[in-house]
Amino acid sequence: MKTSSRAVLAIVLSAALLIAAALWLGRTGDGSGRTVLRMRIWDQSFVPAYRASLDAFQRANPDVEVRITVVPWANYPQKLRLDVAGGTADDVFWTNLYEDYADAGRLLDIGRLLGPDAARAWDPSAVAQYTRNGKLWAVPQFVDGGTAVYYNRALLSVAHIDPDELSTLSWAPGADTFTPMLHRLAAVAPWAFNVANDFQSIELPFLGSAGGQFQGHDGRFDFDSPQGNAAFGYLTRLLAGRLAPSAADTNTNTDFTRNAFLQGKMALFQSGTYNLAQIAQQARFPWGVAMIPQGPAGRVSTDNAIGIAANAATAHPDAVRRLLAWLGSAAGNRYLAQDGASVPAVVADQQAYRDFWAHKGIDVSPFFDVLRGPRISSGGGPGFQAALEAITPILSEMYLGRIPVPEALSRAVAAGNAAASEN
Amino acid sequence: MSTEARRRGRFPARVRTVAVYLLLIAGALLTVAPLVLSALTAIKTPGQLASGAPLALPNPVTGENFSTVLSQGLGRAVLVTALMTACITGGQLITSILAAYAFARTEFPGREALFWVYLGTMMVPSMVTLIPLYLMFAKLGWLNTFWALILPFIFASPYAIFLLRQYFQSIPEELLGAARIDGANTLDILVHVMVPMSRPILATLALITVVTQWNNFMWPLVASSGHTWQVLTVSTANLQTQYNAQWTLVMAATTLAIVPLVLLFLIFQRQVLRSIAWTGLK
Repeated sequence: MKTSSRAVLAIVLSAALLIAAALWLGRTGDGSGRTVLRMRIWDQSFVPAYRASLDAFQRANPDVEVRITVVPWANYPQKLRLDVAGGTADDVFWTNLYEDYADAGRLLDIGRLLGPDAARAWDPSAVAQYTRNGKLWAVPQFVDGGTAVYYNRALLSVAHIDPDELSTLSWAPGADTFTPMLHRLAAVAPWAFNVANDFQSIELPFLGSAGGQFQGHDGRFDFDSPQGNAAFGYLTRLLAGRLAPSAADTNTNTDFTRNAFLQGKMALFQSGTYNLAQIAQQARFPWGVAMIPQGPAGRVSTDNAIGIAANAATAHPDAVRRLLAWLGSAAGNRYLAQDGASVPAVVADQQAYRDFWAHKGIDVSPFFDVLRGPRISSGGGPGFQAALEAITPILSEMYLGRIPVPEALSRAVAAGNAAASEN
Repeated sequence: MSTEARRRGRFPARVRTVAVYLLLIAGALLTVAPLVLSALTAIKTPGQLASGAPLALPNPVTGENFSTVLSQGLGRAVLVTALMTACITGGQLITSILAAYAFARTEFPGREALFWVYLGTMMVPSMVTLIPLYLMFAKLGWLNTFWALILPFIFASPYAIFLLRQYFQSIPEELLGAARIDGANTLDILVHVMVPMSRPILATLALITVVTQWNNFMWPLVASSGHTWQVLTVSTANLQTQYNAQWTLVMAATTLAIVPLVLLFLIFQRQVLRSIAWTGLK
């Protein structure tokens, strides 16, 4: 055989070998005659809890197999949009921005699927978040709870501050006790508080506590109100007073403030339950949780929820119905509370979360007590994701001090409304 | 100033050498520092990373991040990525050699026009073709298959053809004529003359293709869902959650991800350096 023919043969054999390897790698069970459902989420850390829940579901429903797909959080909205449009989306998927899909008829009506009584077991704020035009479009899975302030007890002690004082603070004009407290803390720590372009933990609570709102009832952004100017003006003054880390650090690194708190460099860290497990695991100093400071309109927080929606194009609607009924039941949902990582959306399971942390000596009641007062909506509606992407960079510039607050808010509102309407 | 002093310039040779070395050391530090930081972070606990300085040495050293990422499917993602990269690199090399030879050494009507049109496709950003490509694969039902990962990239790229064509044109025509007189056909000439003489440029091309495909993120993310065909980049991105970047895990994954590339470079470095000397590519 000629050398050149041998070369061709070698190439063909190599190709055959690679294809065989691909076939071997690509072999997946067909479910052994079972109906295979795919469930899409964006957080790998939820896989063990969901797997345990789904294993229990599969034991009760031996004709169904549920496979979990994890898609990176950073690309989740784009990929979901593409897959829904391309008809290749999973049977059920996590979503927090469902309006576009609901309006386009891409989701199953949960009320019709599970019956009107199903929602009674779920957190009312989560049900309200996923209700649009009188219909429920997702089964709430977990809620974030309200916002609270983590405090470094050691730094407070050095500054001679009793932790109980924290829950009496106010930043309302004319009655501002919060800023003097931060100055006392700044004397003992590099930073007293976290101010950052953090939508859920900082901006919404301050905006709400000022009496403002992020979106009006018509869905248009209107946080450039006098209340918005008061809230964002206060935040930027804290930055200017060097009471919080520079926006140059926090705009690009969303973990900066949490790490500063964990390093013992920040006395107060305003955030949600989503950082509780990490702080409990990694803080090397005594710490606790207090209520957020009051604003002119009191203490106002948001309570965001994550729900699981059903793809209207699923080939297995009955199996999807059974799966969602399980995930929305107390028995199926309680797995999400098993390691204290999230607050279950089934109200009956929420005590398990509180008990978990109480057992560890941590009082999580400020996250829930703040929700007894008025709440600020975290927003939503068609084009919300695109609007947020337009708003965020303008607010980042504002925190850097490059754009005055009124101008930044005005530009952000205009950009947000334009982006939402183009969507 | 004497002629000797002028010849030596204003600074003695030793000073110039020290300055050059300092510059090179600074460049090397800038290049290596991110890799060292990545490896250091990979052997820290999340607690150490959060509470200590970024450049602090790990104490104690932990291998837990590596075992965690491997238990979360990174090993499989490495296999999928390696297979995808091998298929694409092989396919690109073979088809690029054939196409470049045609553009460099065969005469046919419209050859130049076709070459420049093909080269012009380099100017089209890949993002522009992403959605049409996705819809094509969706219509064909090929999404989330191995074919979806490799087919868009397996055929000759304009860049590869351009590079090889220029190299093939520099090989003396007399050599090809001599081979023809000895009875060699086109395939023989390719296998016995062109390819052996083009090893450095082929090694470079292979390396560029391997690195590009190994790091490819957007198309594998779009074309596949789930565990089966998840590649390394997507698997690494999955480690970052909404509220926790999990840098220790991400760095463990990226440290593992660059090992094959470093090994590949060490194996082929002689050919790569030779081709740099020829092409001026850096």
